[in-house]
Amino acid sequence: MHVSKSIFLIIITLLFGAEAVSASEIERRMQENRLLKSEYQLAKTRNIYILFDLVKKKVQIKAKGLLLREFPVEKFKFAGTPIQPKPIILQNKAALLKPKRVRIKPKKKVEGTLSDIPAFEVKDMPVRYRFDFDDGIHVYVRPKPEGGISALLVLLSSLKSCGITMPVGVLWNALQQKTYAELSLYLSPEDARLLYWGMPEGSRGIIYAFTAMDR
Amino acid sequence: MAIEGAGYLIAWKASKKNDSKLVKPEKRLLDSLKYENALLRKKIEALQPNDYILVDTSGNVLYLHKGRRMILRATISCGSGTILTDSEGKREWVFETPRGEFTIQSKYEKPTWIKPDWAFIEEGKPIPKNVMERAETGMLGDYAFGFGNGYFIHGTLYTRLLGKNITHGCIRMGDQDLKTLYETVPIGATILIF
Repeated sequence: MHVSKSIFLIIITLLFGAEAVSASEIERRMQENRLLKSEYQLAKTRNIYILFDLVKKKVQIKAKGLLLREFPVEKFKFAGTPIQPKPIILQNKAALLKPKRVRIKPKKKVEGTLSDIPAFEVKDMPVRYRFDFDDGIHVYVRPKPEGGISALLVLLSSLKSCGITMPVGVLWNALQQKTYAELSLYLSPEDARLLYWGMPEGSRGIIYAFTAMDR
Repeated sequence: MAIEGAGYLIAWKASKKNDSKLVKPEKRLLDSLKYENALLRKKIEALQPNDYILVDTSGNVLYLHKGRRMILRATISCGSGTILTDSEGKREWVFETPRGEFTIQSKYEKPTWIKPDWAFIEEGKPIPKNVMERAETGMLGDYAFGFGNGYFIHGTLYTRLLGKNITHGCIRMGDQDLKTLYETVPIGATILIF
């Protein structure tokens, strides 16, 4: 009796649920539409752009709509004002250990042995940093915690974010009638370095976080 | 259970009656969104070049794609990212390979390098007034491709340094790969650098 009642209720729920699915489907398509319009706007330019696709948990470096490189997102956390998938500009890259470019001293010939040549390479890029976009969007990139000090650092960063930067940021920007959002992305250390390298200040990007925002 | 079921049925029929006018516009909206999104995807796809050179500055690798198929993978050298300032502190150069979309503007066989000011400053030599004193042969290898603002894809004497970020912004290639590129890529071809 209980089984047949359950089946009956499932069928009825499916019939009535069709309306709700349809509404969410429309919202999903609308958000997808905004994403595609934004991407088309960026793909028309001669610049490289970045797509933070939180729905697919991927970060993509793209040009002309072509996928050039993709990084899987191990984990992410989002807090703050919901982000619309519109083009945003990377205004600043901040890191505790920001890589510094070497200044060449004239009269010192560059070509020589390998160890003599100063260079700014991927291995010099940080694994833990922050991208500050316009519109009050801050993306924190952190390496995937692998226990020990790494896990402790992630915990401390999360505490700092939840206890200090996030509430202060929201309050400060609310007073100025501005939006504020924090996104924490956990990537592998190698991918974190490549993303820092691949995104110079002034780059454009899109954050697509439709259903992902609820997580 | 029968009463409960009848209740659901009555409610469902009533909701169908009330929402029958709403369902159609919603369906139309969904269909139009699906259509528009498919159109946008096609528009983005249409922007993608079929034949292009792809340069990965982080890994110092160049890929040549023809008809969306990779036909060459070459180890190269890109910009060192270092900074040079002249003795008066008036001019500064950042030796970085530019990123973005570029076009092959020129092709040269046996190119002669017209050394720019920074090359003399870096060597601590006076900048010559006569352009002929700037000319240096053999430095750029057998072929060169200009892609704007003084940047070139060219050969190198320092093949052991390929794979390292050591250039002043140009892209250096090995002799054989450069020859293949020269024979395959026409003027007007797209270069994507990231």
